[in-house]
Amino acid sequence: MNDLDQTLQQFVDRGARAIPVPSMTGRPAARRSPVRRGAVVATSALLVLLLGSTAALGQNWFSEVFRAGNISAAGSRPVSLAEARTTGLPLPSSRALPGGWALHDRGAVQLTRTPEWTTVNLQYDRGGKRGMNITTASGVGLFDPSRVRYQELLTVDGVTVYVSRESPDAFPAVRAFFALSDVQVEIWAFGPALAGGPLTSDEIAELVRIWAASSTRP
Amino acid sequence: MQESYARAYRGLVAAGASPPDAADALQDAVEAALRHASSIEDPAAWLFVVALRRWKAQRWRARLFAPLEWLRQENAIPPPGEDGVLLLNELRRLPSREREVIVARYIVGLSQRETADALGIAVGTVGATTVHATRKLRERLGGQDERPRSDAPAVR
Repeated sequence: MNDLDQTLQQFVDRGARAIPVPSMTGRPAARRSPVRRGAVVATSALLVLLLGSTAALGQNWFSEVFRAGNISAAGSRPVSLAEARTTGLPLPSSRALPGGWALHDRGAVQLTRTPEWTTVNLQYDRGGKRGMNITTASGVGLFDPSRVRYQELLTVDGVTVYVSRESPDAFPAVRAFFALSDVQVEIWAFGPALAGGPLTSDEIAELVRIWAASSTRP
Repeated sequence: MQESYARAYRGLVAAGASPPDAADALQDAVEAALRHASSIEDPAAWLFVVALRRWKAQRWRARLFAPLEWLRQENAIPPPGEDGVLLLNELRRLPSREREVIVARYIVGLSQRETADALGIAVGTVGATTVHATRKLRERLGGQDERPRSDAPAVR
């Protein structure tokens, strides 16, 4: 007797079919002897790092990183949340966010302004060694929607949110991008897996709603 | 073998392995399967169980490769389609034990006893977890669990 739920089975079958499968012969199959395995792994890691970095640079895959570097290089200054809100960027009105997140006491709000673009960076923390950094920018792209890498795709009140999660073991991090008209927002958070990780999808959605609501206020 | 490989691979990804880690773990499992071919009754189940254990044992490597994880994925394996993203999102919301049981039962097609052996838990735990996680997923997906709540799952 099959105790499985047929409706769920259909949902799972559809989803599983949509997961692309690499070729069985698509990855190197060479075996290493147990004695040499450690050395080979270390050497491979170094080679992957070198080759991967070169390839990524060549194809401009680090563009977001370099943009962030340029933003930092432009020079930012700590401001109050109220002053940051005068930029017109969508920002929350309170220093606290749902889930126990609160702005650091000092230097938690960083404003960078040039004639072409403006960014505001907010740094939050909450108990349990969790941290969160939210960058809101206009006039400069934090991400390219056509090329952004993601593992989850959320739609929150019509806003598309690209979510990627890293190191899904003891201390995972999550990164989420979304755009509100000509403003782009990046959320980056980390937190220990034992304490539930940094942010759930529902918590990300809640943050998106706060930013979206503040972008439409009169 | 290709079909068994695909089923085991999708099961690993759905269980939480990154696509490159799933492919690596399966590569090892395939090589082991070739050495034990005569004694394997269900290749997909066998590959999944062996690869799942290997992936769990080597998960620490994820830390080493974490900064490059996106690069490896970008190069090797295309992202899942919309239905795949939906499935993975729902599974990620489950605790790991429930997720692994659901994957073993629904994707890989293991029986309760095979799932129990694969995950190192009791058959009764597999049954209860299957019912609980199934109900949770059905509720999230907007469906109703049509079976009577007292309907204990049978071992197959």
